Amino acid sequence: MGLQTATSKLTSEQIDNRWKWALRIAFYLVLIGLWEWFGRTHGGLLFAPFSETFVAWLKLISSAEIYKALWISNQAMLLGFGASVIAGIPLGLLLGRLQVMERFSDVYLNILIVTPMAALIPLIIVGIGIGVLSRVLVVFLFAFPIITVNTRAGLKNLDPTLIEMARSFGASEVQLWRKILLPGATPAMMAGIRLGLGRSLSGMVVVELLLVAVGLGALILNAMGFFQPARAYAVIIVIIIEVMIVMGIAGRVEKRLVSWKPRL
Amino acid sequence: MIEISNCTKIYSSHDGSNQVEALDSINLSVKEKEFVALLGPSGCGKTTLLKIVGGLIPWDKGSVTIKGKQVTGPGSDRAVVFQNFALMPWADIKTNIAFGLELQGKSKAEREARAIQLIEAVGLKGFEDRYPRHLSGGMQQRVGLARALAVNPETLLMDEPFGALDAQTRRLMQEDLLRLHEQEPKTVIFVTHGMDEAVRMADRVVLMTARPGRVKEIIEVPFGRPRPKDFDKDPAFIELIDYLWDVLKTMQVLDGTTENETFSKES
Repeated sequence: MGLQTATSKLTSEQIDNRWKWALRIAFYLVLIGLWEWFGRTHGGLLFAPFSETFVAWLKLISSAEIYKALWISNQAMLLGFGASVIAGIPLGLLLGRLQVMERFSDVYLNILIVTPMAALIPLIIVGIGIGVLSRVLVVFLFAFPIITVNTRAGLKNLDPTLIEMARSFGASEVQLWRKILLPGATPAMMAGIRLGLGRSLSGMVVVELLLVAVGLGALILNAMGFFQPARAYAVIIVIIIEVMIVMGIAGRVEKRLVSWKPRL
Repeated sequence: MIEISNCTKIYSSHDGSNQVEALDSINLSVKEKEFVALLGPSGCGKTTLLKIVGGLIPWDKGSVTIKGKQVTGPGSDRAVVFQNFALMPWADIKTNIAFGLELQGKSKAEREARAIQLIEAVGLKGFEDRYPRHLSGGMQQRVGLARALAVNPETLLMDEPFGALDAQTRRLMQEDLLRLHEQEPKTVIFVTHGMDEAVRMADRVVLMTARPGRVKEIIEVPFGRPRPKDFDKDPAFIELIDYLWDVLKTMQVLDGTTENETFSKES
């Protein structure tokens, strides 16, 4: 009886929300349950159940080595990402504005986006060696094409009437850029940066896993090598958390800057 | 004031093989503060001519002068109102209206004052801080009109300004524009598809044909300014529209391209 009156006082939206949360929690519990069961039955040297992973994760985040690893890995990520933004945005703007160049570069850019960059890593290592530079370069190559292409698309998809309108009111090329082209292309640029950031994080880990064993990648390889799968997964969880936090912030920044357009 | 003499505009394809004469030897004189409508089927070059006068596209032969000086590009003496409004979606109404003034380097205070003045004039009071996406089509075009008026041009160039609006809003805007023109007359070149609209708004209607774009006929609209009450119930009004339709109809048939062309008598 008491429960009935309580329920009738809730709005239907509140009831929906409660169901949503209940379902979510149930879903995660099922996942964790499966993970635990699979780990205990088929586990061993290469797969750990949830409970062991969780314990390993707690140990990991209270150690110094994870933060050292994060710092090493993210250094390359930040440098590579920063370079890809600095190179990608102006190039994208240039390509967007100059029709002539676009026809020439279109093919190459499209190829760069589709190519699995991981395949180029051995080439880079052979060419530049294993150091910060090669890791930075890999991150750069992961992120640069998508930033460029999105920026270019942002300009190309700008309503040409806006440009004509600005011209009709006497806008110079500089004014056109400042008042129309840049503001208009910003949503696409931001989307490109967000996507590029995601790819940078990928590149950061991939290069370390495949060839230059430092930082986070080294921790994973090391753990697997010593048949400590729980530790390896713990590192992966740390990476996932970092990605979620970084992309979450990026998404929020993007939303604030481009409140006038729906997210691409 | 505006003298268009033997103006010709040719569009050619990349390799120069295909040449389309968008405008062929256009002769037109527009007096100061005169309201002229350019009426014709698609492809007759009316928008091209408008943009040439606006200094937005070059022409190939002939001369286009305003007060004796050749048109070399856009200028502060002319302002354009666009069919699809061309408002900056990332800026609020006030900023949109003040855009032309901003390009001219006017101070913030001046821009603000002028914008507020015009917001009232076009009936958008209360919407200063809204964004274009919050506004209906008619309201957006009011912003477009306010923006054009903000720079105090001598000539208004309007490219089918009410073409994207529904019939009722269009009618409202026509009446508002007529009223604005009566209060503060400017030289207006008004491109339209609608015979009703041309006769309602203009002092003279310039009928154009397509392929190549030529002036077929220029008709004086007999109603003075301000428009007398119920002038659109006057038989002369209807006769004029019928006459225009008859001429335009023959253009359609001769042309053989009637697929997308629908001329409505009420527009």
